[in-house]
Amino acid sequence: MIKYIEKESFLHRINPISKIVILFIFAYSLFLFNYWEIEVLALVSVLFLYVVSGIGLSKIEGKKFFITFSLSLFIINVLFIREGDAILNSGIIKITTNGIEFAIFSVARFLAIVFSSFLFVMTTEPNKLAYSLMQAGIPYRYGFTLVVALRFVPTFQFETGNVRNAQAARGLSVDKISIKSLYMMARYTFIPLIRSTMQYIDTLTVSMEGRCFGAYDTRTYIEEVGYGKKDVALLILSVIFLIGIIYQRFGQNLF
Amino acid sequence: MKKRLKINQKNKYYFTTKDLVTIAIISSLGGVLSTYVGYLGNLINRFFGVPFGAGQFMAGLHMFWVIFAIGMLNKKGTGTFVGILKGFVEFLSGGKLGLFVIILSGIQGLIADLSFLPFKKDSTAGYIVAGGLSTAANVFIFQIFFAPYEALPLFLAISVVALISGFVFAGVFPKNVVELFKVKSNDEGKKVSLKRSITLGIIGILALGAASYYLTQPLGKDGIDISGNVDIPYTFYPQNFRNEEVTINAELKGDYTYVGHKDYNGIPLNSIIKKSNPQGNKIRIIAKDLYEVSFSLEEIYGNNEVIITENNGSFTLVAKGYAGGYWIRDINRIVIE
Repeated sequence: MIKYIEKESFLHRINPISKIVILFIFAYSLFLFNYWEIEVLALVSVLFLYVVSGIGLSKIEGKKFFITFSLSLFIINVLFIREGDAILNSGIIKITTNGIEFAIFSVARFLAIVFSSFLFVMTTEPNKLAYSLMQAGIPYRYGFTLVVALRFVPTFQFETGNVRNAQAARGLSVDKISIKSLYMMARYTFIPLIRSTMQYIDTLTVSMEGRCFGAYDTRTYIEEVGYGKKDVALLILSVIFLIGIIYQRFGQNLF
Repeated sequence: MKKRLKINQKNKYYFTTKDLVTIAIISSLGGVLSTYVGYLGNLINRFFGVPFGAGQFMAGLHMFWVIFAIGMLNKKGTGTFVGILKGFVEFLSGGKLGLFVIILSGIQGLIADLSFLPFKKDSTAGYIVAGGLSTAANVFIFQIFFAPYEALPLFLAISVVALISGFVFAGVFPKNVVELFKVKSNDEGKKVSLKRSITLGIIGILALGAASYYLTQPLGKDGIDISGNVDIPYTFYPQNFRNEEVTINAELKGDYTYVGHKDYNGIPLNSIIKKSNPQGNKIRIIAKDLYEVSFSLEEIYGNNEVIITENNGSFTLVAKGYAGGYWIRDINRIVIE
């Protein structure tokens, strides 16, 4: 599982809000240009950040998934895009330059977005993100839902394991693929979990209301999430970068 | 002086504390179980021997939580809220789609909310439609962001699988679970039959398919209507111009699309216009989506390098030497003014 890794790199020190805004701008900019070279350059830059931040590429989990998915995406694009100069043409199968370029483009874009997101997760403490969002102006009642949701992730992972182990002990498995068998499989997993989570809802609500949660329009924080000059500078640079690429992409129509 | 804080009255907020806790818990559980849903999807992929696609059969389970929360709370905006929050949980737990999952899940939640609007509270049809549409939307959104539309048959097949999955796992299933858990003040809720819902869902898909087929028929079936200030209005069919077909080598340079030099076969616009004996001096070329470009008659007359090509009943203008914006696709009308 990809999770926060405690370190002292420059990426760890950036304010979570600045970091998530930069991440959104980065992802958005990848969709503005349809050139495979740009997407590949972006992917290489992200991988470079893994190295310089001290995280290391070995921390990327699910390599098998990414290799399988990327290969499938590549093959589908190569086989279905038939425009462009033919490299191989044997009747049904036609491989063209456009197909290969688009395949590289799709895979690089997908990986660049996913790996940059992983980098964000590995360098950002989830609760700090939630608290910095609240400190930035998101109503704390709503921001708190993120804190609660994240708080319960390990609990629900544990409970899901219990339910699945209980199913395995009863010999429950998908013997044949049919709508009904899958429906029943989902039912036997989801319903016990929902039943057990209902008690958390009641307990937590009583506990929060008992502490007058929501009684005031604002709240105080034990620890303020810092927002330094470098965060402002990074945000300004990112916005300038965004304006620049939007101008490059739509400039003729905007002005 | 001590500042006196004003205590808000109870029920001031649209979402009560219990609503927010419910949303948070359901989103958290949904985020955690997305791994399990992925596992079930992979099981089906392996069964069919494909790398991905068949796993869409379980896609409805990702939306189950959104629809379940809407059913439990019955408040507008719940779907979007759960969608975004579940997306955040998946994102911060290292979900395989990264940042994209927040956008995907948020849009699906919004679609679920909007789909419930025309229906009465707790209506079974509302659950099925919202579940189906919001689940199928994942294929569409994913295609927009990462995959080409060139693979249209594959895209449609996967969309139908996702739609059926949505009917079952994000429609019937959450409806039945809500009935099980919700404390009802009046009568007991009715359980929805899986078989009946699937049958209704398939009938719905067929009806939608038929309606979209008739609604998207071009004005000039497999042809382009030539009209306006002309002596002989007619419908252009490429087969009537086969002996005038030419091959040109052109390069498409758009603002963000580039296709290198390649050969295109088609009929010169010049020949198509001449047949109608035009009296005006401006040619408007209009696509099905109403996008249009125009040329002066002067620049087209005698120019055999602006041609109309046909591919599977769709007409595209290949305008050598013109910017990519002139390479209009899906043409169905030409008007002379």
